[in-house]
Amino acid sequence: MSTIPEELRYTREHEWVRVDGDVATVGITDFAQSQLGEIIYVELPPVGRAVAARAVIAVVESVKAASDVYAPLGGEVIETNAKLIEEPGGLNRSPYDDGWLVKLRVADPAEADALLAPDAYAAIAKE
Amino acid sequence: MPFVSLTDADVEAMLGELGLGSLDALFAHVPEDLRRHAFALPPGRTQLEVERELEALAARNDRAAGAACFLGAGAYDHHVPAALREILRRGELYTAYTPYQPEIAQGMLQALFEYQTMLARLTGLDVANASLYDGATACLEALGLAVRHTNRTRVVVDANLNPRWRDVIKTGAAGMGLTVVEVPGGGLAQGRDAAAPAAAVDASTAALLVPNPDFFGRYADLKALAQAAHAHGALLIGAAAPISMAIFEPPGAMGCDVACGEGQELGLGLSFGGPYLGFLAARKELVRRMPGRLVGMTVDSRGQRAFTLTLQTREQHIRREKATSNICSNQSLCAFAAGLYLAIMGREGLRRCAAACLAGVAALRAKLAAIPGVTLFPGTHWREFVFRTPLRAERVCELLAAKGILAGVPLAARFGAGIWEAGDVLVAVTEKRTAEEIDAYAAALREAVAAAR
Amino acid sequence: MELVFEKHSAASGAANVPDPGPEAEALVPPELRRAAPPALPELSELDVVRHYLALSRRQVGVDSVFYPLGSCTMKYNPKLCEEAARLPGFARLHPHAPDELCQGMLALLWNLEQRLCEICGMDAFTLAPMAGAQGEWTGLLLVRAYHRARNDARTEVLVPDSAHGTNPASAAMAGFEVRAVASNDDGEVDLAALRNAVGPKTAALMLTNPNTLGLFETRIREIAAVLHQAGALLYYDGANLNAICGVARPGDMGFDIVHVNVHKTFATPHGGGGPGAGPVGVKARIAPFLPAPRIVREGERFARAEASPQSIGRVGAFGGNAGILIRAYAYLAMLGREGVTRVAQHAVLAARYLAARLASDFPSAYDRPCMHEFVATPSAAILGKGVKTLDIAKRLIDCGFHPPTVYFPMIVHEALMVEPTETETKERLDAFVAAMHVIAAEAMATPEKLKTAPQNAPVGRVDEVKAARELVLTYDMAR
Repeated sequence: MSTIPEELRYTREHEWVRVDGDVATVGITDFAQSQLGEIIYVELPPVGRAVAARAVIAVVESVKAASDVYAPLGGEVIETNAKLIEEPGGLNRSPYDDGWLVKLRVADPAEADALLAPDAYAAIAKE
Repeated sequence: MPFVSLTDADVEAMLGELGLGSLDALFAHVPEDLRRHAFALPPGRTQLEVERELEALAARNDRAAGAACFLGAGAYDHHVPAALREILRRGELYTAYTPYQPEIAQGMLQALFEYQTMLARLTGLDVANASLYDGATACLEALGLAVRHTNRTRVVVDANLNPRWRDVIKTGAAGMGLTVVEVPGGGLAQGRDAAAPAAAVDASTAALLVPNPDFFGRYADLKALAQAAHAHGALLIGAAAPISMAIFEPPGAMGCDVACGEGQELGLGLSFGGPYLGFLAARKELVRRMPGRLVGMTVDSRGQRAFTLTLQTREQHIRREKATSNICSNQSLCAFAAGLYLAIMGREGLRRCAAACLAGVAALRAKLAAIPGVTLFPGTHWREFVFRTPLRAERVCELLAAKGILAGVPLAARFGAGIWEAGDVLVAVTEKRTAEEIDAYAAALREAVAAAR
Repeated sequence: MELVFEKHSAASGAANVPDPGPEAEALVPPELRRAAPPALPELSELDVVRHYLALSRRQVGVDSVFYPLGSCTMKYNPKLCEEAARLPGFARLHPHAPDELCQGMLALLWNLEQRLCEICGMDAFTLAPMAGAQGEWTGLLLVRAYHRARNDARTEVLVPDSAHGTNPASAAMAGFEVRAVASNDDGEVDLAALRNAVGPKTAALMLTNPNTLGLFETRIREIAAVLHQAGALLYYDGANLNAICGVARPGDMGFDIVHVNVHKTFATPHGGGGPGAGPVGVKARIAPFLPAPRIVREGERFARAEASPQSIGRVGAFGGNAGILIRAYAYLAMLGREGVTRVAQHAVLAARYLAARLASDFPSAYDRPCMHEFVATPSAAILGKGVKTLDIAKRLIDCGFHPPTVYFPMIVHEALMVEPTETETKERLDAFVAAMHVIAAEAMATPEKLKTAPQNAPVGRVDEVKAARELVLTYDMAR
């Protein structure tokens, strides 16, 4: 059974978001990392890139799969987790902390309210 | 019935197990009107009959296959060592499929890893892939790599690249979203010229593709072009000839980011144009943008050295329409053969082979220079050069073919308009060409030109 | 095992290459000369032979074991075909030799084109593409050229969600947008979904028939009608031609363009991942767009012709992998018309038989008669033990079999795709069935045995994660 922290918001594509002021931290869920298996590579966007909601912002690769990560909210990339380039396994070990992918400065933090609540996501992650 | 291994009794038993009355019943769900019962094909024949037919067909090519071959223009008559031919007949190797199950494919995987290493060392670059189809498609794929790396779509191509390879680039360009700009790389009389290719690179250019040697066998220093390309953030791609790199400065050392080209000369023989071998080597920063298979070294569950296909997420079977290329089956056995060739020849053997091509070209050029009416062009020629006579080039080739010499490729007749003229012949001299053949060539050409004067 | 770079001997292959002396190299200006020679191996010829023979012992092919690799058609590669391609009149023939001097070669290639036309129900063939995926790319460039010539700029290619990855990748490389079409519960193209997807932007649908699930698309005529009524073309991926050759023809089903994988259907060897060949056939209205060179017959004489002005151009430096095409011709010459039909019949019989006999432990993903291959999954009981398809595959290696294709098609969970081909004996098929049931029993009793397999291979299970995380692509990167 994968963990689904209560304080985060989720998408159907298995991203999680933590909103802190106008900064949204984005990663993939524990369920997603367990489905992918051992992560071997993470492709991150350049800092400064403006992204629309639901645009591809990163790619996460295992040996047998490559999975696009979509921006849950629109905004500008202000930081990426460069540690994952050196050690992609961090994403498997700690998907919600060390394994975060991208920080966005979001235009409208309230958009996050439209994302999935933990219980709604739990229903999806069971499938 | 040849090559089916079920006996009539087997068929009956198996159909019985399935509750079916006939072989036709296996296709009952194929609409009846789509099932065809008469094919206009010849009846089957015995192995002996087919062997005789093929021997007869092959014999009809013997005059060409047995001639003194001075043909080049993308395929070269180098010696294929007997040891190579022998090993290539190992059924474990040539009847295998792509090594998706690495535990029982270590032979092919290790050989391809060794090939990748040899090609990287030969080209002076960090990594090489495990093969592409041929030199022409390797150029197209190299341009695709540059486009992915730079996010630009304009590519500059030195027009002294093999015209057939330029054709393939044009075929593929539109679909891949490339804008191809061809620039002159120097005429026959004035020698190679870096000015136009260098000037054509701008801030929207993904890559500059330059042959070395060029289509006319001429070597050049590419360092200034590397500077020009890099100054604009473009990649320099060198289309190279593997054997020459035993002596000549390789693309990596001249500043190329990518080397690509045709590996046919590495022990593959002529075989009427294929199967050959596209090779592609690059700096390691570019590896995730590379097309084609890559073999990596790792360990097995007991900690022993082992090999496996790696970075497969670049490839079509995982990335589908976002893959770095559509390539699937490539030319693995040809890459295997090329690695084997390099192992058999060794460092010194390959140097001698490359030097013999230089010597052969020098010897033939010296003899042709002494024939009134024959024009030669300047340059550092490795294995190939152009000469001009007052006759039409195809006439020259016909006259020499009658004497058992395939004199070269008549440029205008074969490739249409170009920087060449109607009398220009592209001639290649490999280490297989003997002093006697070179003498006979010069004598026959002298006669042909004299008769026409 | 040692790498070739880790072996050295004072004697080297150079002994067999005459030394032209230092004068030749002196012709090269110093600035063009290589600073240090490339670090190639230096070994005696005997040591090289031993190295590569040792490698060959760490490799299996169809010549070693039963190789039921789904979607790959790993049939026996007749040895006469190998001999034929090595005849000096073919092997030593330069592609720029004048046509007059290669009449035997050109006659063979021309005849092969005619036979492929007959088998596929097409009007013209090109032999230029060098592999199946290159055939797809060529075919899609033909689609593009065909529509452009009619001033009809169509931008979308449809592929079923079960399609092989080369289909979408080739379409993208040919400049099309790719749109997936769902399969229905029977594993066939969902006609309603197809009708929804097809429109004025649709350039073509790429389809394999039987499809990648080994199932015949029974509504193929309706599918063709949907495409043609919308002005689009129907493309046949010949990956599964072995199921229907000599029985039914893509051309009769309504396909406009086909590619065939001669290294599948026509018994040319796979070479450890090529070289193959991917000839492309077309209906007459698409023939003007075929790539150069075209092989033409003028009375008793054959020649290579440049393509028409409408041609897509060239797809390779020369006319294709002639050495492979010779093998395909020799194979077809031996089979003849009865033999071609027998290939499909026996290939389908063998697959249907295996599917039935494996069903108790490895039920088919679709409860329908398969063609030349089928997709099965381990039973719920086996999966309940935490055993994966990959473990079963690795255990099969210990039992002396090459595993089937695993995890393809992607739309089937834990897929195991089995294609026995027509060239195996019933005894061999039965031995495979027996091994699979033994493995199923092991999965229930001693699942560890599967998870730690293979034990009897040259190496244990290979760490692919390490290979990808710590990239070592050359010997120099390892040091």
